[in-house]
Amino acid sequence: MGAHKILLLAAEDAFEFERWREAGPVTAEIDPETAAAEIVEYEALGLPLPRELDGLRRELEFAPAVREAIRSSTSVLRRNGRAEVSALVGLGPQGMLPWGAGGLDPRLLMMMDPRMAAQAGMPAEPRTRPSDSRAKSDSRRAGRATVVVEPERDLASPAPSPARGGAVEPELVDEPDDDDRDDDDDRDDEFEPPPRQRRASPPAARARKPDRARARASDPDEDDDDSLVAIRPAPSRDQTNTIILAAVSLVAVLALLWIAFGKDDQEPVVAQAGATPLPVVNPPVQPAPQAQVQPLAVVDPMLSDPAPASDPRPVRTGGLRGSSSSVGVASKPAAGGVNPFASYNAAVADGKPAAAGGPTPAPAPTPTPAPAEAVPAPAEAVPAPAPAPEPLPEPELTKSKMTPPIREAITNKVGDLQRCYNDALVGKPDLEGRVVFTISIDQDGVVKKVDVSKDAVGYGVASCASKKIRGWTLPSAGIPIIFDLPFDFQQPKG
Amino acid sequence: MLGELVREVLRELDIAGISEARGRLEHVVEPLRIRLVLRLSAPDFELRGSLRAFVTTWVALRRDELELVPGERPTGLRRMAQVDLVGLARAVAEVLEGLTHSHNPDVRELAHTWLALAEEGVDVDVRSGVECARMLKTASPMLSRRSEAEFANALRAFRTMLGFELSKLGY
Repeated sequence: MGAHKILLLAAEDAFEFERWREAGPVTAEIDPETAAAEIVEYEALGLPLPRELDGLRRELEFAPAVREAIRSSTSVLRRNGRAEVSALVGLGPQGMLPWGAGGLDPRLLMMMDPRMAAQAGMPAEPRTRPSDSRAKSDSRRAGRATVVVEPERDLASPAPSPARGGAVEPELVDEPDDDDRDDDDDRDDEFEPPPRQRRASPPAARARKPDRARARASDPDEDDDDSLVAIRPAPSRDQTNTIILAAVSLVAVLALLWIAFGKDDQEPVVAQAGATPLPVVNPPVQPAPQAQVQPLAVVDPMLSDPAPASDPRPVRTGGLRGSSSSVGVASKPAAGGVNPFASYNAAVADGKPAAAGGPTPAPAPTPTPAPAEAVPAPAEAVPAPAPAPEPLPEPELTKSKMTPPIREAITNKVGDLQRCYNDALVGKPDLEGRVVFTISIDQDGVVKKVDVSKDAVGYGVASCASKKIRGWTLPSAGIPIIFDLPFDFQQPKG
Repeated sequence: MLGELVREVLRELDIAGISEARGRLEHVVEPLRIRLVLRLSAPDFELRGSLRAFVTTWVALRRDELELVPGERPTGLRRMAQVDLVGLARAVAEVLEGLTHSHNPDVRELAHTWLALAEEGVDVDVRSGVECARMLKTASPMLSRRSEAEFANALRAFRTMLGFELSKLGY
């Protein structure tokens, strides 16, 4: 590299720095771009930031351009639901590792350009063959020094490694292949997430290696051999799906039965509650709910989290994003042990429903009302052995008034709407009237939804203006709010 | 694939003159893709979180440089794209010479180190200015004794001065 190029690099560095200039003394060891991207991902997922990132965000947001970039990317990721919790949880820092000639992560190489992958000497097929479990465990032993590309995994969401700082529990990223049991556990434990207790096999079986073969023979579901896992999908998934579907349909039938036959008895139940124990009024219906109390408790919260059970890919975060209730999140670690995510439940439950946005898989709303009616009676009839988790009601947002800062911010942005109006005026010079927008903003002030509740103007002004409003970020009110924004489009006087 | 991702992000970010533009935006996507590839393949680069989040943020941080607002002064690397690079290199050398007389000892040292790097660094294998700037810490014994925060502050002052002096020269 010549002197000329190095001098140009100095200029490039100075020019690039301009966008960070007001961002405070960002320490040199931190790469502000990757840190900003990580902040964006946390915020898009509605997860509280780890402490060091939170401090860094405050530092970065000194620069208005950076603040704006973080906000706009957050809203883009939220809108599309493309943030990936697995990328934050399973990976931690993904080092650009010494791999092949290029010294570059093969996943990224493949994303960039196949030619570059070829230049770096990367084979076209994944490096580790499914049967090569030895190589796999070796590469894991090397921890971050090697990345194994697995056939089933998405390129952009690579193999799991220990969760960083306990930000989110690894259990949430439900990886289907239960291959975290290798023969030499003592060396793997350092790099792998804690083994899950999902299988029925006792932990002692892991210590006694000779017994494992017997255990595997006796348990057809035991698939801790890496090669088996990589080649074929776990057969138990279909069964699980079937069981879940059966349970869901059973609950629906029971709910219908309860609505059909149980409604008449509801008033007497309330009336006589203080008097005498209620005789069994509807014997055909009552025993079934008793039998189904347990499935209800399992199925109901998980309705919002179907992905971990059915989705063979470990990286999609529909499960987490869909499960806005803390119940769904909290019920998993019961099987898995420690739950570092527990302290986040409240925040997720509070903030998420509004923040989730995007194409969130939300199967919950349909079946929820029926169980909500159906559950109380069985719960009264049977002293519930395990308290059935009640589905958290969606926080009902009522319309509120604009706060003064929001009003001021909107006043500053009125030009956007005016432009829409001016464009329409060209086609119809006497155009005017009132449009009322109903705007929902989240706790960060990001506009989540814009409805037009009244449109007396027409000519596409309202839809154009809604589109502009959707791009706004308003001052945060601290909580998600909905408010009306009436707007009178009038022709300029004179 | 990376190009597709960049294109998708450009559409989503609502960048004036870009996001609503018809066509495939190749003239914007390709330079961005090349820069992104260089960024991702830098030796000290460490991706945290998903690639999509990184690309989205990376593009959003360059919004000022991408937005086609008539009459606005170009910023970021577009400043470099629009100038005579030979002249710019000469101007940088001139400014660095000037900064070797700065009152700030760290800035002086950084300017000296940059110039030394330019003179001797024929085999320096760096792909970006940021990467090169980070290298200065190991290149100079004085700077290597600084803590990360001290070095960051020094670098910050130096970059600001260099950018300011270059802008005075019309760049």
